[in-house]
Amino acid sequence: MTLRCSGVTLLEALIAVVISTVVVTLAGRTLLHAMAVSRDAVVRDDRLIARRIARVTLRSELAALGPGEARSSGGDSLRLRAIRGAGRVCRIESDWIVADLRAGRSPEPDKDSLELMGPLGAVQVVDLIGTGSEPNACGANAVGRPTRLRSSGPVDPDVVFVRLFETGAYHLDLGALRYRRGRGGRQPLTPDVWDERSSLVFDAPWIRASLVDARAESTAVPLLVRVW
Amino acid sequence: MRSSRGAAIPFVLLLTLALYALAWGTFVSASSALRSARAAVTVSELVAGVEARVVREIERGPPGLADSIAIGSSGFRGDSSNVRPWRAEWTRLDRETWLVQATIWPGEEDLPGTPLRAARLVWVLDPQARILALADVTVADTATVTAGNAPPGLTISVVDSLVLGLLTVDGVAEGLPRLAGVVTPRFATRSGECDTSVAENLGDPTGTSVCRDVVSLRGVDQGIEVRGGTGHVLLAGQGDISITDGALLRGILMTAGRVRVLDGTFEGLILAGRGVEVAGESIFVPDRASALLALEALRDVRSSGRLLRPIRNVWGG
Repeated sequence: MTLRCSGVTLLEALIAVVISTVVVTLAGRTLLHAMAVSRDAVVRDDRLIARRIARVTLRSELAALGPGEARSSGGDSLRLRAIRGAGRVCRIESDWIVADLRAGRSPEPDKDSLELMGPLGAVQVVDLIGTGSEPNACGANAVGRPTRLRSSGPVDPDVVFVRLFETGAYHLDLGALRYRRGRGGRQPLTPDVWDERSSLVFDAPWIRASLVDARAESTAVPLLVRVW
Repeated sequence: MRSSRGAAIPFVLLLTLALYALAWGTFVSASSALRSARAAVTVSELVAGVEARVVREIERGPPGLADSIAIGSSGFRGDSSNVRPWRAEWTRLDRETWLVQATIWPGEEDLPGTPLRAARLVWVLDPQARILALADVTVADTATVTAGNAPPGLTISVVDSLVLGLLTVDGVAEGLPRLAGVVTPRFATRSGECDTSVAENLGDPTGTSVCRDVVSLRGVDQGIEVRGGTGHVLLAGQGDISITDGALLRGILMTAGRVRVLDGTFEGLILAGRGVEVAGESIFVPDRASALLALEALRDVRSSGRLLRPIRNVWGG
């Protein structure tokens, strides 16, 4: 007698249904979990990016300044000279200089000022009222772009170095770190991840920032940077 | 023959695939986090490395023969064989003013990245420039200068604070062997060479011994009286300095107190916070050559630079 077996038995069908149910449930939960993890990762990534930008930006700006060139106001903002370029002074006339300028952007007379430094560190601050190119004024050793900078007043004849700066302010506002140049608008530099309890204080030589996470209310990240 | 057409194998394969996908995702996530952490550590190490490098450079002073570097030109130090290659550039802005820039590159074992830079503005003593900037006599604004037979054309500068460039009196005197009380200079030799470890050995400027070209740098915390003898010196400190009993000194006297040439000769430059007195028959010759040699001796022991401004970076960062 030959035993023939075709199709599935009831028992096999039941086992298949149970296994399918388990697998589908597992897959569904895994998918939901993965989506939650992904959302959290994006949020955490935003927080990390925002914190890193705040730390690097503020430290970078303040590292270029001496005492008295930055001050806090209102517990959430920091007003300072934002250095945008610097260079060796190659030539001096009564109210202009030529500098071997290395700058992140071109000098702009309507918003930039000049910090002129003497050989013993004395500093003279004047407004920038005009610029021009002087390609050969700094000789063969020039490393930047030789630039003529006209000042609003007479220049000390012994200045050796110039720094180009604009007056700006960093604010913690609407959940993000924002930069405001002069009287312009506040441009966000980071994602908006912090709530209104966050604070930003410059207590020389330290920057003390308490960044309170907008989504996790108990998390306050102290950002402490020594400038000098 | 038995034939089975169940669905167990596809289910097992599906389950295995799902587990593999989960494991792979976890692995990628962990690997990414590790890589990110390594990058952060590398950046932190590079930042610390370049800061340490620029500070060390300032302590060492300009490279090689600093006098041969023209204004606007640069001198370099570096090590390309280091685990993390670095280069330091000293650009001369003025006789005494330098821009010091350090650059450090990620090593072969680091994650690829851009080099990091740090820069400072630094003052370094240049004896010739300093001599040109000094008057024959420099005193504080409340001091008096009494010179019985002052040389014609004697220049006197009145200042708020007594400094040598960016060096204060205490900065000049820092670390120098001390003299106190009554001192009678005598040159000393050991093994045929001038023994500069003897505090009273102030050189032998008028003699022919091996000490004839030696300039002695000494600190003066309390008042001293140089009684007789000769010396080529830079004396610096807070105490009064008196020259008596026919002593002859050359060089620079820099004190927050008084300089009194009561019976003897001084040839050089004087910086005295509380004034200068040259008695009737005594001699003061404003000799810049002797003073220059004294400053060169000081430069040789104090070649490190001083920050022009307390900033961490000229450009930020």
